[in-house]
Amino acid sequence: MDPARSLGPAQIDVFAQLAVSTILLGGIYALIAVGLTLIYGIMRVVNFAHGEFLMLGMYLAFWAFTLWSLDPWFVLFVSIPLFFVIGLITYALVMKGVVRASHNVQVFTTVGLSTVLQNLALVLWSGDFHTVRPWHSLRATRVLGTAFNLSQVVAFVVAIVLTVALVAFMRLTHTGRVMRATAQDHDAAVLMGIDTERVYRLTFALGIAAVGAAGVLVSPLYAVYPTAGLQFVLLSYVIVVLGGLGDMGGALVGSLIVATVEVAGSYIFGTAWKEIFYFILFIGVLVFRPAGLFGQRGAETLGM
Amino acid sequence: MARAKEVGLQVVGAVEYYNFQTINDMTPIIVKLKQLNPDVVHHIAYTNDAPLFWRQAREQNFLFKALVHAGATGYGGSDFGKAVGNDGNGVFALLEPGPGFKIEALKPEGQKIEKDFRDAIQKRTGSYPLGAHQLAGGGLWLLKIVLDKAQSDDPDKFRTAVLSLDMPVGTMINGWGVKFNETGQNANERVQHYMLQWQNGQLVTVWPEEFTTNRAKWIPLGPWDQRK
Repeated sequence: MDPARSLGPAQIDVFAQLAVSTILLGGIYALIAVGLTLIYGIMRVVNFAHGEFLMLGMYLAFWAFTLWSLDPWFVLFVSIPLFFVIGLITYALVMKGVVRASHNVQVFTTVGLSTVLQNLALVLWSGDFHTVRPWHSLRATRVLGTAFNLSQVVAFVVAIVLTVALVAFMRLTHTGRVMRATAQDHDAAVLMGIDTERVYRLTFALGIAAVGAAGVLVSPLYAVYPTAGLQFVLLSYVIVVLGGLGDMGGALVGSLIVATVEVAGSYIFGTAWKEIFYFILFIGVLVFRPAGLFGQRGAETLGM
Repeated sequence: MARAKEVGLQVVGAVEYYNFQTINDMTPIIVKLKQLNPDVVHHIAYTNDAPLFWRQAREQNFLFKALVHAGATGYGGSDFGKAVGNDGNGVFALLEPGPGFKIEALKPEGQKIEKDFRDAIQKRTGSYPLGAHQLAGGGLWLLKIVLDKAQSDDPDKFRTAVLSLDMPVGTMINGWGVKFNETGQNANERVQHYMLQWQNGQLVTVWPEEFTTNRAKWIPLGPWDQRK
C-alpha cells in the first residue's frame, strides 16, 4: 500500500518534513526568480540567459572553494559586486542595443547569450560535473522530527532578505521611484528628465547581481556544470508569471506555490506528475489571471 | 517486478521519476521510501540525482541495508565519488571491473589487452578505467579482431567473421567472452558480471570473489556516521 494514501499519527511527522522541504525549496526558487522578475518588471525584457548567470555564480563558488578553500558564504559578499559589474558589462555589450527593440529581437538576443555562455563554460571548464562541499553542505539540523540542511536554510534566509531589500529599495528610495516611473511609462519618464538608459543599466546589473548571488548559495546543494542553470530557469519563468511579472513579493509567493506543488505532487501522486501540475497551474494563471496572482490587470501589456 | 518475485524478492514499492536531470528535491521520495522500510534500495540514477538522493537520504536518516545500482551513470560514475567522498561508502554498482580486479583470472590474451588498455587510460587520465571504458574499449578491440579475420569490409564477409567468433570468458578487456548467436546477440553465458562497491572514495571490484582482491563491506549498512 502506498504510504501517501494512509493517514495516521506517523503522517504528522511526514507532513512536517514535507512542509519544511517545501519552504526551503521555495526559498531557492525565490532567490533565482527575484532577479528575473526585477529585470522583466522594469525593462520588459525576458532574460533567457538568466540560468546561465546562475551557472556562472555556481562556478565562481566552485573555483573559489577549490583554489582557495573559500566558503560560499564568504564568496557571497564578493559575488554581489562582481556580478553587478558583470551585469553592467553585459548590458553595455549586449542588452543596450536591444532594450528598445521588438520582443523577437530581445528573445533571440538573450537566447543567443545563453548559448554563448553555456558553451563558453564548456570550452573553459569542460562538461565535467563539479561539487562544492563546504562543512555546512552535509550538516543536517534536526528539530522535532524534521531535518533541515544548513546550506539550504541560509539560502532561504538570504532569499527573504534579498526580496525584502529589493522591495524596500523600489518603494522607498528615490532611485526606486525613478525605476518604477520608467517601467510605467518610458516616454513620460524621459520627459520628466529621467535618464532611462541609466535606469535600465542599473536594473540589469541588480538582477544579475541577485542571480549571481543565488548561484553561489545553491552551489553546495547541486552539481556545477555548464547547463546547471537549465535545472532551475524553466521553473523561474513559471514563478515569475504566477507572481505577476515584475512583482518581487509575488515572486516569493509564486516560489512557495511552485515548491508546494512540486513537493506535495511528488509525494502524493509521484514525481513524474509534478511538472504536469505546475504547468497546468501556469496555463491556468495565463488564461484566468494573465497579470499573475497579485499583478494588476493590464499590467502585462505595460510598455509593450 | 515479475522476475523479482520469481527469484524470491519481495518488492515493497517502486518510485518512478523521469526528470533525473532537473529534479531539485528528493525528500518527498525519501520520506515515502522511509515509510516503506525496504531492506535494499535499487536506484538507477544519473549524475545529478545520485548525489542528491544520497545527501538527502542522509539528512532524513533513511536507513536501509544496501543500495544497489546498475550501469556506468550515477553511483557507477566517478562523479558520485567526487560529490560525496567517503560518505558514499557502501554503495554497490553492477559494472565493469574496477580496482582490485585480478587479471590473473583472465585468459593470457585477455590479461595482455586488459593491461595495455588500463595502462593507456591511466597514462592519459591518471585514473583507473571506470564503468563504460572497458566496455567501449572492448567493443573497439573486438571490431579490430573481426576486421583482421574478415580481411574485408564487405557486410557478408564481416557477418560471417562475427558469427564465427568463439572466445571463452576472460578474453576481452572487461573479462567477457564472445559468441554471437543467430539474433546477433552475445550469448549470456559469455558475459561476466561484476559487482563494485564504493570504498573510501573509490569504486572497487568486490564480486565475483575469484576475480578480485577486495571484499564487500558494510553489509548491512550501519548508521550514516559509522561507515568508515
